[in-house]
Amino acid sequence: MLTAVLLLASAALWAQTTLKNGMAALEEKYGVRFVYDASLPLEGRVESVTGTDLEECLEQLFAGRDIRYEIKGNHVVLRKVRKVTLSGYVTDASTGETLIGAGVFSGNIGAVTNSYGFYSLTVPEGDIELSVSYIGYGRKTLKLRLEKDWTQDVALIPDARIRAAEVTGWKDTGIGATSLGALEIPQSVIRRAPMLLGEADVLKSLQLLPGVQSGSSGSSGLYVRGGGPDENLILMDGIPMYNGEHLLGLFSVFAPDAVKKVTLYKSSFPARYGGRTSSIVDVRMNDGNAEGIHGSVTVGLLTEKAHVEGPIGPNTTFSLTGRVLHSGLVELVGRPLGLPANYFFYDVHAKVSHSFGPRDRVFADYYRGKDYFRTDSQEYVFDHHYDDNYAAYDRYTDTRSQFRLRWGNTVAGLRWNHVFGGRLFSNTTLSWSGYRSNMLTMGEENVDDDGYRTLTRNEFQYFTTIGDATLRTDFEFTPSPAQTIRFGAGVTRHVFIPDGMSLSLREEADGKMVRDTLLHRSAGTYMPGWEASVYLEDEISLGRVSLNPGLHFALFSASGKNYPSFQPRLSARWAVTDSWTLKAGYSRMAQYVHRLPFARVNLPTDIWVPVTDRIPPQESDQWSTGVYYTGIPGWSLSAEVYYKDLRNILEFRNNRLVFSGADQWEKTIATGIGRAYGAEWLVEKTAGNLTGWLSYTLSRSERRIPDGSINDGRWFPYVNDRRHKISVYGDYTLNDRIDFSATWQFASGDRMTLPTRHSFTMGEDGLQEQLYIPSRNNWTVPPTHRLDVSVNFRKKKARGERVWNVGVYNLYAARNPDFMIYNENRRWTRTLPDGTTQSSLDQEEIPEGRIYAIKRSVFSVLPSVSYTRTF
Amino acid sequence: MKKIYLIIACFLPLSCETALFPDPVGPEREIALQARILTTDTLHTIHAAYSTHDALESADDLTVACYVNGKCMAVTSDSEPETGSWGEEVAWRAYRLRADIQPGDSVRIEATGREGSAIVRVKAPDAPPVPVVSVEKIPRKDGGGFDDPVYRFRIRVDDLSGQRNWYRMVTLGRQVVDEYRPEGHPLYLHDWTEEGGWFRVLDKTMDIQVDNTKDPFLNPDGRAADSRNPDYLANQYNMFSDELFEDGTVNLTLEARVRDYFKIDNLATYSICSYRRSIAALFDLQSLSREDYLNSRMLEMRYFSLTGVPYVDGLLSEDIVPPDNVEGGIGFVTVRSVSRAVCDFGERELPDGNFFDWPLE
Repeated sequence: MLTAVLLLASAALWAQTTLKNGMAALEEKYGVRFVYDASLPLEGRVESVTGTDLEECLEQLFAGRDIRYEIKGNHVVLRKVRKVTLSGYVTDASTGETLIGAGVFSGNIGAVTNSYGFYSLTVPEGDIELSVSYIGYGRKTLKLRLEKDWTQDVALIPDARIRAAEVTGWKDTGIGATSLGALEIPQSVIRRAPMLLGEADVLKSLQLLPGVQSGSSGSSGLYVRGGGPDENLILMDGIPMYNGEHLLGLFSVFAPDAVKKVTLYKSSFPARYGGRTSSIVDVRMNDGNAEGIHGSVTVGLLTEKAHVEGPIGPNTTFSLTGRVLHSGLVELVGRPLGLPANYFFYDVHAKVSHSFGPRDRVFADYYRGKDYFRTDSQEYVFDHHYDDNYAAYDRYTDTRSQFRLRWGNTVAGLRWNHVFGGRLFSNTTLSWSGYRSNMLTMGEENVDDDGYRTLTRNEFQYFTTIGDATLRTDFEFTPSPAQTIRFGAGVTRHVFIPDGMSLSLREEADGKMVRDTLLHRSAGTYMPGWEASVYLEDEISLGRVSLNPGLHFALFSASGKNYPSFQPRLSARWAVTDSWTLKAGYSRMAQYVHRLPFARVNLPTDIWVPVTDRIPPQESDQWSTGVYYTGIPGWSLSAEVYYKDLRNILEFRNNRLVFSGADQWEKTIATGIGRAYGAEWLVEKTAGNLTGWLSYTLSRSERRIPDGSINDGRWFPYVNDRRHKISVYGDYTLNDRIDFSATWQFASGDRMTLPTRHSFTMGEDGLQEQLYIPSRNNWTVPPTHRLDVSVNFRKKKARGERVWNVGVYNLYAARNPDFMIYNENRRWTRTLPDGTTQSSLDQEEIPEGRIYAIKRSVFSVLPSVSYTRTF
Repeated sequence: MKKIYLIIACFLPLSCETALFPDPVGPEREIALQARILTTDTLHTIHAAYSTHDALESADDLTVACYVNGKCMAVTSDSEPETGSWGEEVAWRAYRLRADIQPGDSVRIEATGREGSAIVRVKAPDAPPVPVVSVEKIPRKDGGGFDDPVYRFRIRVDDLSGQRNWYRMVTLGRQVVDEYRPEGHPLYLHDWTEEGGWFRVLDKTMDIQVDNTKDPFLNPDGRAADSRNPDYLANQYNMFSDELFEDGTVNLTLEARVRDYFKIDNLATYSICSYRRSIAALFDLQSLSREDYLNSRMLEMRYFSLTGVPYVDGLLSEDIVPPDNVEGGIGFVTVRSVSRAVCDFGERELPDGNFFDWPLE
């Protein structure tokens, strides 16, 4: 036994000792001498070394230390390992598109690519193995020998078999992110989730996520954690858009073919974002294919879409996407042929990217979208008239009227990415974003009395517009793999003109001008504002704990008043085990612009208005926490709770005005407070042929107007206070040629104000009967539920692919409440042909005078089919 | 302007409609009360009806009592039918009570009927300081080129200090006409006497329509209400709060046509008589509760149909949630304290009975 102990003891040179003692032991055993600089850190203890030769022993002795050794004869030279920065872009090998959120790691050191596909990693010099991965792409591993800072771009090959479960590394959204409430909606979901009439939609895809509600069925409006639709900042490549919808909210402005990535932030907002109180929707658009000209054409039931992208020269790419309703093409021939009315919308998105080298890239973005509605009528009348002398003459009367309503966004931006030495990345953006709604009515009467002609023409125009010019710069500094510091500043010049109008009258007689008068012209109430912001955030990883504290400061100046706002932000993540993660977060947000909408329908005549000297900025404080579990391969489970406090929210006063200009809107609204709280559960399957998720949201949202002008100062439910929401999304890939997807959604009804009995009121001008309403939003509308399915039939072609998409929206024809109003059960009496009278009620089931609700369901079962050809 | 709403209305015919019948909420029948009590009146009217889920029903079986500072001042079970603005019969009935109510008094109205009882407790606001009025006559011509001068009144209103206040300025005109009947000429009028002398034949207080477009406080935009543009609130009832002049003073500018003060309707005159007439402009500054003020401002818009399309109206507007201070019932009873300023235009003899020749001093 003693021999065995001695043998064991001799196998290890020591049990545990200091590093210097260990070095001394090796010097004695192998007859070498260590040579090193005195500043080299040689403190600490080391475990036993069991190597059989000097090199093996040295490897074990200095493992985990930033010390490099080199054997030179009888000397062992020690040197501190330098850190070098490895940076570059991760792209799609087939298109050259940068990949956002790709994981890049070397050993235990990792990073993710930023919004521009750029990564920065600080690693020890020497030989490293770099591994890069991304969902839907094959992993790539590179062996590199680094002796100085190095730029290494990596191109990944698409592989649809790679699912989320196979991708490791850090992420900027989801469970791996420090921030709660940051969710990425995968491209596959945007393009494959069944939607209304087969039209893939970015914003409606977000409604499948927990905590996100829609307005009415089919609408793309977003109500995020109890907030309103104007409380969401929608960014297109970092540029805010004011109206993200077409056709009263049925479609969003984003053509999916042009979209690269969509990220939704519901809470713990990073400090780089500000300006809205409920959510940030960060949409990143494609840069363009660097490898060749590619694209797609899609013809569906409602729209045509075309997308083309490709290189212009060796360092320049372009991406061009267009979408138009079929009726837009019909208008080209229909209007000249006398089509009396039409509606259509179109979107055009163009982007050009140019690389000046590994350190500089510039991008030019342009978006134009427009909705157009018109009616034209014309009537000819011929009759006989008599003059004062009773002489007869013929009169031709040509009466025309026109109505035009146009609304849309224009966005343009110029961006410059610059890399400073590998660790510092900057993005500078100069942009313009505008929204305009314009209405024109024209009436004209041409009268020809036996050759004597008169013309009367009146024209009324109304417009509302908002425009922002912004200069902004953002920096991302990665001093170490465990820390990323982001900071930046921006300034925006806002211009609001909520109510420009003109009214003119023109009269002619016998070809001569009698009158051409501008009866009223108002350039509109010009409401400018300045907004400046700075921010700083620091994402730090401390082993299993990561923190992201930050501060966003904003200053808004309008109507001679300044509104400063300090907005602290904090996110914390604790990876308790490899499977369990806890997160918590706090954010303060401020909002300086408001959209004054109608109760349930977003109309193009909605106006955007800034804060004023009487209407302060809206603010919110949100606390949230969550627990996450990824212990089952291919699955992730999460549960989050949140509480949101709102201040200076706007609510329309009772009997509000429908069409108020800027000179009236302040009188029609009241400011108050709100609160929203809830819990969200998400079970997600990310691996295998069947993927998808099940989510459940339990929430509540209320408002109160302390001045008593609404609901007598009592709390009342917010109009979109839906108690329960369930979303199920499933995507099944049968093989390379066929894939299915389905969604089932259930949501409790939202709220409406419903009278309960008959009463009367006393105004200044006397008494009148009036239905009695006990409180605002006192009644819960019936729930909404719907099953949508779609299937893709794919076939590879010599160049590209063709896809037939067949889908059914609302498969079991649920009658959802798309519009809700109420009515009083009235009795009608009519006289029959035989002279007798017949009396009936609107609704025979209830007594006369009883108040009842009317549910109007617009969207029943709607099949769709579309054809897409990619090339 | 209304065409835009046809965009929405276009969807509606394409949709299918389902009627939903929510369960009735609240008692089957309860008392509904409405009243506006002025401290300058001694006879007060309480309007009452029975509210049901299906209709408003006549409440002629109530006993209504008025308590002032805890003391019962009047009780009545008599009620009179009322008519609407078009002369139509309406469901509510008028219960009249005589009581002296002063600013600061606590008023309790109790209405008891077969369906139970309803109680309202309300406090009369403090009386505002009497406004100070000055007047000048502004010559104008009407559309036909005839003289149609206006009185421009400048009214100084001092705010009640130490509290938030809400006001309404009511403009009235008062005309008093006395008739001199010569002695010994009884004629055929049975109420004449042999003795002769001055007799009062008219003592009338009437509403006067004023123009507030010159007043930047009451009407900042200087535009009149227009039935074609229901979006515009012209503050036609001249209501205001002290938000912008709390504990201070505000000067109001109101204009009224001179002829409105001198209108005479249905007064029989006799050539053997002579007349004297006195005219005064009355300015009742009412002090209201906050709920009363908000309710009136909201109701100012109630007559407007937004689009004329019922479905679209219902979709696009928010209904009024009225204030309710009736316990055991529904409705709103308020007390307004009134301070009156008088601008006396003096008395004038009209020996020839020509009431159309108003003084143009």
